[in-house]
Amino acid sequence: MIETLAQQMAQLARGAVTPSLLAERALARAGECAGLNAFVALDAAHVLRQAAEADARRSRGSPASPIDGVPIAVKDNYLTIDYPTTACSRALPLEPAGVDATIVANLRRAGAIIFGKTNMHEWAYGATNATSSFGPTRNPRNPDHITGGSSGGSGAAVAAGVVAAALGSDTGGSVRIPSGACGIYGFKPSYGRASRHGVLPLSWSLDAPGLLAAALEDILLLLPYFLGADACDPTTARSRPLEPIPDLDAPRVLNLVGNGLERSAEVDQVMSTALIRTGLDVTDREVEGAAAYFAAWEAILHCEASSYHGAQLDRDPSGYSPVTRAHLEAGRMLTGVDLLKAQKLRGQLMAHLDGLGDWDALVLPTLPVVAPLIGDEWQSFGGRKVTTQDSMTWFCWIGNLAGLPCISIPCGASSNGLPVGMMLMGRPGADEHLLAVARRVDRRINMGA
Amino acid sequence: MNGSANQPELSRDQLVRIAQTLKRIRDGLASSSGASEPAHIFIPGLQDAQVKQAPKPTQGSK
Repeated sequence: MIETLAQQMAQLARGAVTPSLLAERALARAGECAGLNAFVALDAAHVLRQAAEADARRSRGSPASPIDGVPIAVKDNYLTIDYPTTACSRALPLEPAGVDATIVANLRRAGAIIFGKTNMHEWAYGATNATSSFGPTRNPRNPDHITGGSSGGSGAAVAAGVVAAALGSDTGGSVRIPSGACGIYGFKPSYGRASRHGVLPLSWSLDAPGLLAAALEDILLLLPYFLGADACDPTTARSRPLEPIPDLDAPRVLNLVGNGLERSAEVDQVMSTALIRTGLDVTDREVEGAAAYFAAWEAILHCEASSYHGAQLDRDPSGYSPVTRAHLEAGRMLTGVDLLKAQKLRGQLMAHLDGLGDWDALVLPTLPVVAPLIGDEWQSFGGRKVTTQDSMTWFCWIGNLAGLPCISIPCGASSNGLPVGMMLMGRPGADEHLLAVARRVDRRINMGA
Repeated sequence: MNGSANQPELSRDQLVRIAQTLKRIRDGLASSSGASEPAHIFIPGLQDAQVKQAPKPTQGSK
């Protein structure tokens, strides 16, 4: 069992540990796990300086917040004033930014130790973490396997017990995928609930910041620093701070199935067993046309990424890996008509999901397969053979295309001991309602309640 | 397919990948059972212009 943020906060509150001791432990663990390649920037002296400042606040009896002194890792696409931000691409200079991303600033103001920057798939433009200017990350559950991505370094750092929580970003599952593959918790809020100011974009109408953590409770403890309006990100204009998580008597859950939503027999078995253990009212519901909706997500992704990167791509195409450059060039070749069709399909998907009836959460496996071996380019499951990249985003894109809040919860393991994640999705803006369902599911599956 | 303004040229592997991506997306978009096109599309500038040109209602008229 890895130590949770809640446990660290409790130890700090009763004086059983100091922030410096927590920081020293985390640094030692990071050293032991260096082979996972989870971190791309980690300055031990800087970490200890931040911890000493937290020590002083706590010894005076005036911590900045309950999270004062806990180490939190940050994906390398969040701007930080103390570490360079490269998005693990050679296209960006190794220099700290002039400002923190809003979420990093919130955490820093609350006294959290900004521990280091984590490895990621180049520009977040892929879901394996195999493509990074710093090399691939390795899965703490089995280093021969990928972490998934693009927030793979954050997933590895939490799953290995270096930090209890880390920041990620999610455009097609990039928080949930490594959470599922590494056996931890990952939360993507509704589109527009959390600020993306200072998070380097991939696709602005799909992107969301997210949290990876050792426990669901840890996510709830960090959301006050995460959700809410930010004048620097207009998409959050109607966002609210975290509201109380309601108690739900008997949540109704729809298990999505259909052509394009297949999964391996092993993942299906683990999921089915876990769903029975929840004791919830779960009904299968068919989603038709998943292939078209997936194409819409991919079209929007490539068009928006190409628009954002266009000038840089013209200046220096060699700054991008061959695969990333190919994605960007494909985006330039999609037409306005392609994009209009995609946006129309996006609206249809949102209406379709909303019209599925009276539901509290939609459920799918986070991934159709367990974490693939490093170097495996293809995955076979459910009568299909797809690229490892597509297998990673196989279900997760739905949450981004429709702007839904989503969470991945560990729900079991395969015969070879690799984790299986369960993904729950809520209605847009109803993040607290989704978290209420997730809490109930987690207590039944992982806490024996 | 010339790629970016400043070369290096795209490799054969990249060109194949691009072609596959475009085909997959267009096949996927075409596979939609497809609701009909909307009867009207909101175009902000056009609607604004129409509002400006519309005759103002006369006070007291019924």
